[in-house]
Amino acid sequence: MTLRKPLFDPQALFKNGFVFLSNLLPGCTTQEAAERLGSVIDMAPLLSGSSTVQDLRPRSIGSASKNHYSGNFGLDRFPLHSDLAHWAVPPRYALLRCVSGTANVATHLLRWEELLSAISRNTISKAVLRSRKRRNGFSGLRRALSHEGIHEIFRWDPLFLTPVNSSANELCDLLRDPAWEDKADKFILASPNDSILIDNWQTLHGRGPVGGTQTCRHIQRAYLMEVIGDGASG
Amino acid sequence: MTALPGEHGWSKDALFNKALVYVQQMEKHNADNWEYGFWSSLSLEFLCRSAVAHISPTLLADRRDWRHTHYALGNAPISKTFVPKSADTKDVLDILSALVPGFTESKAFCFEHAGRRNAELHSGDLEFKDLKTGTWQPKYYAACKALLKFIGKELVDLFRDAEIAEQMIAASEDAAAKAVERDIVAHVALWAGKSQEEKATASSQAQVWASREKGHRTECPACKSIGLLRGTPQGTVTTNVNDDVIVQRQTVIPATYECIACGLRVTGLSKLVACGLGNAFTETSTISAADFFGLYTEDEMEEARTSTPDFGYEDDNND
Repeated sequence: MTLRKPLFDPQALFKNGFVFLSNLLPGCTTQEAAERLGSVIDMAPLLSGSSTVQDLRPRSIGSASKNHYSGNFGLDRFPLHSDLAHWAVPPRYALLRCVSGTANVATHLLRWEELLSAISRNTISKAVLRSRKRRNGFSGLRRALSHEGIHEIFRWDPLFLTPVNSSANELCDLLRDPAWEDKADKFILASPNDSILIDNWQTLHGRGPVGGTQTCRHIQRAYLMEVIGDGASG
Repeated sequence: MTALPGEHGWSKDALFNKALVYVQQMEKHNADNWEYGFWSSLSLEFLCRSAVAHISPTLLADRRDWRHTHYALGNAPISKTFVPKSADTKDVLDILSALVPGFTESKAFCFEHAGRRNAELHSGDLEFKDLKTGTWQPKYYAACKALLKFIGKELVDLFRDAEIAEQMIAASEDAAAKAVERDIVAHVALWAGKSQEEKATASSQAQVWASREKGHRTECPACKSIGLLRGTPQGTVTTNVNDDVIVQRQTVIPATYECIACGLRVTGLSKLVACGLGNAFTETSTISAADFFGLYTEDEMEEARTSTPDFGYEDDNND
């Protein structure tokens, strides 16, 4: 039996809501790296036009459709959000892995519990949001803080979810404050294979603005539902 | 555990989320406003359905056609004109009565409250307009509490004033409070022993007293004179700005009643509920615009005018 060095500290992921992995598995593709981290979600059957590994490149507003963040924010800052927050159960983890990095475009990360300094948990748990689009027969109502089994899910998306009740309006007003961007941790995916593993149920993420010389930035993303703490094989 | 894009419209969470939206809509109004009662009836309907969905969404399907069960199972409709139909409220309540511990006592109230909602939606009358909160609010909270417990939640997960809801439930269940009826009977007897002249004087004095003191003027259950109900503010303050005055209103949950004509005093919400004085009332305050917005008063403006120094300016003159 060969014991491999753990790829990351699961306690750090649990405590911080994300973990930065410098030069993650350089010999592997992003899909292979993600599979070494945990159970990867095949997005193709769940999200039309998607695939297991998605390529993220900065695009101007006119170059992307309105159902994409790029189609709304272009090369400007992407606000703090959770991925696929409008889903009934969003993917648990998001792996962002650098293919071609830049020195100045930061990924912003903020654990939702930081908000508790300004708003009560009870208010957040009563905040009801509605997705922009709904399939016939499906509910578009989501609570900002809900549960999947024993796990809490915090979700937020200023574009794809709209507040429906007064608790949600209170949360929305709070998150409009640009001060939260200042509070966020910022990481630069500068070198190939530099990665961030984000707990999408705990942590909001965003992107800083992309300057004209930084549009070559290329990140790959994969979603995971579970992660394993180390690479031990039997 | 798996990522899930959509959630069925008849799922437990979807229905609970809707109940939450309607409760917050209810809480925007004062308790004695008809809309408060109306939204409460809608929220209760969705909470009931959420509890049934907690067992299985298929139980919410109208049983008269298998296609509704097929839909409840998450399948796409198989005919173009299909409209999914859910079970009647009566069927929902029958299921809850059989499967939810502690709900049987609430079934009759839920059916009655749903009936009021139907009358509100289908008749030309305002069904909730003159409905006293004491007659339905404790039962509403008790029903909600049983349903919330069944789906793994508590009153605080749904209501802003969960503590007051608990008090109302406790008050309605307080058998000892019924002893207040003996107090009232005793005061009725004392009042009956007074002469007409004594009664007239006492009632008149009570009228004057009640008009000067702060509280909600209410007829005494013993002597029918005017007494005062006082209590604890609950919920938000609504503010209306009129021409020169600001009118603010807030719901008050009764805590004490006093009648100086016959001397009856009742303390505690449970006793007040027992003698029919437990209905929430609205406290109205009228404030001048100047006071509310901190504007200058007439006196302050006059003082400013008279203190202005004379610079020796000459008035216009057509000479």
